[in-house]
Amino acid sequence: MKSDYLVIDGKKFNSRLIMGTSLYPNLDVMNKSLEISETQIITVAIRRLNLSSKGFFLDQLNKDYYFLPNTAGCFTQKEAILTAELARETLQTNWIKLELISDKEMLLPDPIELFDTCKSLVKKNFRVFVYCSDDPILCKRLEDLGCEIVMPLVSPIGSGLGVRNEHNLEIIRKICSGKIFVDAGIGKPSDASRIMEMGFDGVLLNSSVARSLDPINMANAMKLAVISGRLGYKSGIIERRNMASESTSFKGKISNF
Amino acid sequence: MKNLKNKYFINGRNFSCELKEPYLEDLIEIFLNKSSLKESKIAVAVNNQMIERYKWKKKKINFQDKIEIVAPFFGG
Repeated sequence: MKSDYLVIDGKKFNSRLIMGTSLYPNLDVMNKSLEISETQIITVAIRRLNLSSKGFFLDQLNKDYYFLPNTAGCFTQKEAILTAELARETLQTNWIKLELISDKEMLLPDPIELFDTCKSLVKKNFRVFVYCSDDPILCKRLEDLGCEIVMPLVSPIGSGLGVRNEHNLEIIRKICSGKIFVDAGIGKPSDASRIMEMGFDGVLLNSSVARSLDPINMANAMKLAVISGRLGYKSGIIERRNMASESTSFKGKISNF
Repeated sequence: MKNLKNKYFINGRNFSCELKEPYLEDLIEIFLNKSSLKESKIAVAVNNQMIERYKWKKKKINFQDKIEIVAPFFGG
């Protein structure tokens, strides 16, 4: 297959797996998991500086990555915009993963607040990677607004429930011509593979690796799943039929008893 | 010029220190206990407004101001 780079903001990436950095049992496991996953983009949060911690989080990474800062925990446009501006200042990047949630229990995105916030962030020259619900029309509207990447959930953050509404995802992929990732809800490598087979451009995940019994091996499994799904999609998956279609021809069969 | 030992409000907590003049950069240096902030990957907001690094030196702080000093952290 020809080179199949993921291009974001003019930059080429080999990996279509974006990894979170939270919830790992320890730093060593996190670093090894990131490394084996071959991810090139990692998500980070912006939080109050904790002087009692051992050092700066960034100094504890073993490799260079592109950073995708998030606005995790923001409930309002004001909070999200300030967080995005602080992220840009500290990481010197225009990229922002916009998370604007409506409640603490389900962590579901607030679509109305989200839409207005995207508008403001795009105006402020941010490259917005927007975490949103799997509503096809909302995804299309966010794409039209100028978001860099639209990232519908497949199920609630950290739930591991996997794809709950495949039909919606199919419609999203059909009506959005830009880059679409899936963010949140991945549980198993087969979820990641399935999404990539549907033609999505990338997968963003965290809990499914970090909270697994063996995060390093799970990170490897997720990498292979994303590659496998992408390769399958690019190779042209056959159409589905309700009836059988013989793979061995009847022609030349010895006889009909 | 008189020395002022006053309470500031940083990252949700009171912070006391002595400053000749209450400028943001000096306050951050004392808070971080660092003489050079060049390498520090931090960002700062005062009263919910982000203050760009090059403005820290000239940004005067009032005692009621709410200061947030943030840095990248583990996140998903």
